[in-house]
Amino acid sequence: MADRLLAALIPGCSGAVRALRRLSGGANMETWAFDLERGSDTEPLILRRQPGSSGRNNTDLNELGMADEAALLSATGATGVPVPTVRHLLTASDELGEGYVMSRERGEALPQRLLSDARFAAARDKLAWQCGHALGHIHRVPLDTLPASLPDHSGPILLEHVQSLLDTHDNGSPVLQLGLDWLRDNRPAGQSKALVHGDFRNGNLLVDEAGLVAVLDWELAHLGDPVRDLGYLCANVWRFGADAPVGGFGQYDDLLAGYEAATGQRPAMDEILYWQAYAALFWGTVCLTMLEKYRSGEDASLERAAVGRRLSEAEIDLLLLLEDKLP
Amino acid sequence: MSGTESEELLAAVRAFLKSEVLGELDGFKAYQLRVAVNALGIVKRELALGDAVVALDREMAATLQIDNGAEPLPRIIAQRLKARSLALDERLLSYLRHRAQLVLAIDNPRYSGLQQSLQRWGDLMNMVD
Repeated sequence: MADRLLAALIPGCSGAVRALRRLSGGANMETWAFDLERGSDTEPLILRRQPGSSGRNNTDLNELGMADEAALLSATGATGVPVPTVRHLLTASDELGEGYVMSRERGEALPQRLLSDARFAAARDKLAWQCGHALGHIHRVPLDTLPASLPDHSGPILLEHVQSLLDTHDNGSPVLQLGLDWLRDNRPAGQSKALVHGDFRNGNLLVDEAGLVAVLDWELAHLGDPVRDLGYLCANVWRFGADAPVGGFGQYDDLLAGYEAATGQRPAMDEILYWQAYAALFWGTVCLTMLEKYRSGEDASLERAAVGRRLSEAEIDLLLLLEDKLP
Repeated sequence: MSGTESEELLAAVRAFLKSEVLGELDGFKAYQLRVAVNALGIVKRELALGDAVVALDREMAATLQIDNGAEPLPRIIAQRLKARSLALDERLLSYLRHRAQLVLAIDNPRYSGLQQSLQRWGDLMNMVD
């Protein structure tokens, strides 16, 4: 694989691919880190790829294809969103499957380290504001610069999709169903339509001592209500046991101040909490989808089987969030 | 069952993986092994608490006068909520809350939502007894 990467990145192969290692991923999606050496230069890079697959790798969750993901990084980077730089889009002649190579930025993305390591203390103080600011930029990306195949989840279709997903997966959870019913009955009026990252949370943010370096993991991006991203970032499941409401590291006021600085708009807390409830429901559907992937044999990995047992986290969060709102 | 109990086998396998194997691995493989050890922990807790979930469902089925046979009660309740043919009253909510607490105590007792729910809705153990 190192040889093919080298050939793809340096015609004539006058260099070397070093320290190639797999970082994570399921059966369909791989992320690799490596260093590209040319003369005395060393360039730290990331390869994201779907070996031997084509198009979307997860129809249930509407994940983007690799080429769309790369196009999205370029479009958002151009408007000031902190993202890695796309370095090379894989072609058939690279014989590496579908995917792309991007810059490997410095920083830490592991939530537990980010939340507890003293070296990130100053970054934690700034991070909620910076997240609000970055989200503001994401939500202001002109829609006509985005890949045409980006899914549109704006309007009632988002919750209809959840219902059909629950029905497909045997609809065994009364708590997910009551959460969905509440979300249907209480949709905020006047939702706008913007680019939504879809997975903007602690764990997908690259952070160094000075704060946010890059926003990662764009495969769930779509068009929809922008406040969804703000609620998602504050969902309990993505606070990793810490108390602070924004990703476990920050406060609502700072998040909203950063968002207002970028957009001139300050969403109401009711809306943030609505989308937190949606995030809990969404987490439940992710757990059900992963379980189904395991059971069907599509991705019979230990990780998929284990995530299927995290459904009860989504249930408790929904019940807590809706405690004062249900009859 | 005679000989080694299931709980003992589980404890022995977990201890072996944690103390003998984990140190030999790094990166993605080490991460996966931690997931595996955690999964065995879920099975261990289910052996201890699973009967309480069954008892809770049986009691609620009787209260709602539902003869669910082999079909899981939560599935029937989900269908009726979807059809809006079952009222979401305090009794039903209380069952759903306590069931969610109990299942979470099996799946992931360290999850912060469980601690929050125990503070708000009372002690799980009172409910189990």
